[in-house]
Amino acid sequence: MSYSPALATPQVFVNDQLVLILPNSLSITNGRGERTVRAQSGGGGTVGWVTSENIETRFSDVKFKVITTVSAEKTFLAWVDNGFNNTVKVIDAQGFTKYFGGAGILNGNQEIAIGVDASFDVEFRSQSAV
Amino acid sequence: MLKKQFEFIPSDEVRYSQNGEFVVAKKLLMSAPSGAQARKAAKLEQCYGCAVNDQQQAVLKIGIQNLEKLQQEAKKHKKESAPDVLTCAQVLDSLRSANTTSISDALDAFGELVISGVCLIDGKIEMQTTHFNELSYSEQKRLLGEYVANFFS
Repeated sequence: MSYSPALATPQVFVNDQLVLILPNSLSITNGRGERTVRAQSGGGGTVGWVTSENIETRFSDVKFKVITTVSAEKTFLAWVDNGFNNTVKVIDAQGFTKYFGGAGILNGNQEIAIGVDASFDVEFRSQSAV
Repeated sequence: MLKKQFEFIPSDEVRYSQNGEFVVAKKLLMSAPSGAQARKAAKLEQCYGCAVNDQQQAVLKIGIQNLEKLQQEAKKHKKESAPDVLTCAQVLDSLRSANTTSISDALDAFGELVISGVCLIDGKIEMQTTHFNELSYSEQKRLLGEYVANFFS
């Protein structure tokens, strides 16, 4: 019986700076694009497939939550002001490394909750992960 | 004149962030430690010093009786050339065969020193832990050896 630990505690670096995130809040997409399949009939029961890839969907998303603090909010605004000139790197010691270049915060009006248990969402959209 | 800087060309890809892109570093510009890094540098130098001491103790223990005579003969035949220069390989050799310290201790001390500002990636950006960890074990050792050989000999 083999044992392999779950990918649970990766490090997130934005512009080469380590970011402290809420545990278990990170998700990524690899940006390989969405594909569709359509069937064609050749008559007499013959079926052919036509596949296509929607290049418009070739981008990545990196999402995580951050506890609301003064410095976290300031840092978030700096990322927003940086446009799409941010980079995000996700690394896990098990040999998992993803690079997201040309990353930007889509929602400059992101709701920042303020309170004892408050946190806010950070969502980057970037070039496809490498 | 004491060396102040040297360039290290990494064999591994070290990527850093620049204007929204990940750029592969062409070189690492290594500087001699300044006063602000004195304590971190001292840790590393101490490590290396222990390793050299261990090596010398080992030689004495083996009991090379004619060592002095051999050294004198070597000096006689030695051509007048540049003084002995410490090399990376010699540094790593000392650390590898040390008893009171280890390559691991040296790497820990060196890791702290490297991210304190003595290393500029492509001469622009200070190296951080995330960059240092992109170097393989052998590259980290090589960089350690070169650093000690250049600044602590």
